[in-house]
Amino acid sequence: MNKPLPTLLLLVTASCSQQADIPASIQPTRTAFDAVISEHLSDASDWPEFDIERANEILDLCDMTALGGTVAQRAQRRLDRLSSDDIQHALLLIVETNKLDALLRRQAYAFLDAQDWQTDNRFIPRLVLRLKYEKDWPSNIIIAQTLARAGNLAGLEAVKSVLLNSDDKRISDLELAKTMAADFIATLNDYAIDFDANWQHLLKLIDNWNSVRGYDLVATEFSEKYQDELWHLVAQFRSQPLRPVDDARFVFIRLEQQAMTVLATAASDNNRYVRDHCLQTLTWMSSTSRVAYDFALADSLAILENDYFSSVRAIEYRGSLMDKEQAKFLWPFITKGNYEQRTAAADALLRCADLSATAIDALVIDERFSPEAQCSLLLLRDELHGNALIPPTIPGLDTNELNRRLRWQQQRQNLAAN
Amino acid sequence: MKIISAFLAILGIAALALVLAPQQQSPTTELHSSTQCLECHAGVAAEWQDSHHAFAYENPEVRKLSNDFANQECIACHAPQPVLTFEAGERVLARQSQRGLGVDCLACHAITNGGVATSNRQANGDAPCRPQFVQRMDSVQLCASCHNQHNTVEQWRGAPDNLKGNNCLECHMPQVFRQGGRRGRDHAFPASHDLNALQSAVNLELSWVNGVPTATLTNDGSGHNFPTDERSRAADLQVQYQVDGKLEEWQQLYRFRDPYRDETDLTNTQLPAGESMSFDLRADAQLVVVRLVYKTNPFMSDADGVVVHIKTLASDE
Repeated sequence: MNKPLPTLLLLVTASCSQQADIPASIQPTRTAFDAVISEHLSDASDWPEFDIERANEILDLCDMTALGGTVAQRAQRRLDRLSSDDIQHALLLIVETNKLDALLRRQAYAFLDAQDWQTDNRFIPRLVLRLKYEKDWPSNIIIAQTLARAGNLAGLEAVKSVLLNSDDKRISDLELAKTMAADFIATLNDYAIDFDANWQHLLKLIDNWNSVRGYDLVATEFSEKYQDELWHLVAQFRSQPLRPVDDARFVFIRLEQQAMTVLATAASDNNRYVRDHCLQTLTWMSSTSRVAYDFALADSLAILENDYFSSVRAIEYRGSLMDKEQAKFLWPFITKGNYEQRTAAADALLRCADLSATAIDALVIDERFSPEAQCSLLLLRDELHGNALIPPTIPGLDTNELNRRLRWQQQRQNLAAN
Repeated sequence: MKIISAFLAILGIAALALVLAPQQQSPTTELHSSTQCLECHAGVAAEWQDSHHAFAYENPEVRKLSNDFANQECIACHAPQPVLTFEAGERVLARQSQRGLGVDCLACHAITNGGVATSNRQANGDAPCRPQFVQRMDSVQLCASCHNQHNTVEQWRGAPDNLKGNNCLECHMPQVFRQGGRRGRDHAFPASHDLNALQSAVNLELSWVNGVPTATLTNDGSGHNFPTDERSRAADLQVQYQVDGKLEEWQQLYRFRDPYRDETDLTNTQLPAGESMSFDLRADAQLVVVRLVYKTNPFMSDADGVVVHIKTLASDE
């Protein structure tokens, strides 16, 4: 009779303590999202369907227009019968598929540049992607030039790289590219002849582009066709192979600010990968993605951060805004979130720096938090107390992860200083 | 009487507690870190800790090739969220915490209800981590979420039946016996960092064919291309001749490799499963030496690579 008693008492104690130990978590739920992308995609906006042979024929026609005389007139008449989609697609198809003939690609880029596409600009995303794959430097200058005329300055980094590069042994036609680049930056600076002034102007344009994704002189026309193109691009986030996803991300972070509204809307799509990559792409764009926040995410984040699949990314996105106003949304996840949410929220808090908050002092920063979260919280707490920066030593914390957090802190401090 | 009353009261409370307690034994804290697994599964953990899954996030080669993960798309497979929270075969996304653990226990075993998955059909949830049998643990779909990003699973699907085996586990998670005689799957994941695995994947022959020394490499032991993986892996077939008693420098015969996506001027030269490739060599040498050097990154020097096979052929053989 003596043995069962302690056993039963233990059982009671155990079951009670089990209940008490379960953390009061915010339980993310599986939200039913709408098929946002499908609602916006339209087959009517597909590119023409023809092969590379037809594309080469169109390039030949473009070539013939430069010959003069009857031949040129006839070629021009045939070109006039083609739609702008046909011509754009033909020239882009050539540069996308011809991997070996740089001169031919250069020619195709030049023909694309020679047309006036400012209001018929659906080619922009496909041309921006060429900045990722095009290895011919003179071609990169032409791409930058064409994009700038359409209000996109994403190609200026390539122009800067060419002008800074002195390793002419490894890059063919570097001198030609440098000459083209010097001419191009003069056109950007009202055809000034002083290279140093043009160079400074280039750096200013790049800085401005990186911070506001805009070009004062030319605004990218947010045409219907261009928007269609962006919706097709965001649909690539559904892809299982990563390359189309990576391509789309590459392009989006190089488009002007209005393009972010597509990401902001698609962030509530019913495909978890789309939601994830929209938020991730905006996170990479950091505080410049404020347009997306104001456009749609200020409302939808509250839903996204409680969604089972998107919660962590949504919390992370809040941090990337580097805005202390976001801190009030983050604290509930610090105190009641699950392990991953707590990490995302701690990181986001470090990036937003709610420096007026004293709650962090009351927080027990222990192994309930991941090593990454502990790092973020300790860095923030030290900053709050005005302590000298000493990177915390935390078991299990990867050096790369420590460095990321130090970088975030530095970025936010730089932003505040500016 | 008082003793009996007290006993009955306690019995009643206990019965109530049993009713209110969870039906299955559940973890008292959330299962969030693979370090929680180590206490009960020390044998498996020891194998895993020496594997390249454990090293996936901290591997200096990965760091270099991904520009220290500035190329963030790589993080998804090098520090993934639990694979089983995604649809079968679908790609994974990066997790936020404990990335230093790389492809850890939870990456393959954690399931959405907080328990863990196992390929053991007898599992009945009677351990603190609540193990339960999940069919996908025995399927290529589990590995495909990461390893098909570089087409390895597609290559396997197209491989000859005699090389395919049942799934990835036959070669990369062979059966092992651990302390106490318990049988399980090897969590060291022998693959390209394991010389035995490399040697059993391909066969190198060097022989006279119609009066010409001929080197033939045959992929007769792997269920996918050799070397599989895009970008990172390369296998160089090299030859050395002895002429007038002197051994010449090693010469490159061929590189087997799938180039990276932006290496648009290169083509895929991997050797598909079941296929051979032959190379005619100089017939005027007294001695011909051929070796296959495996490199875990394409920029690696010959000295840093692993010699998988080396064969010699004399002119009088």
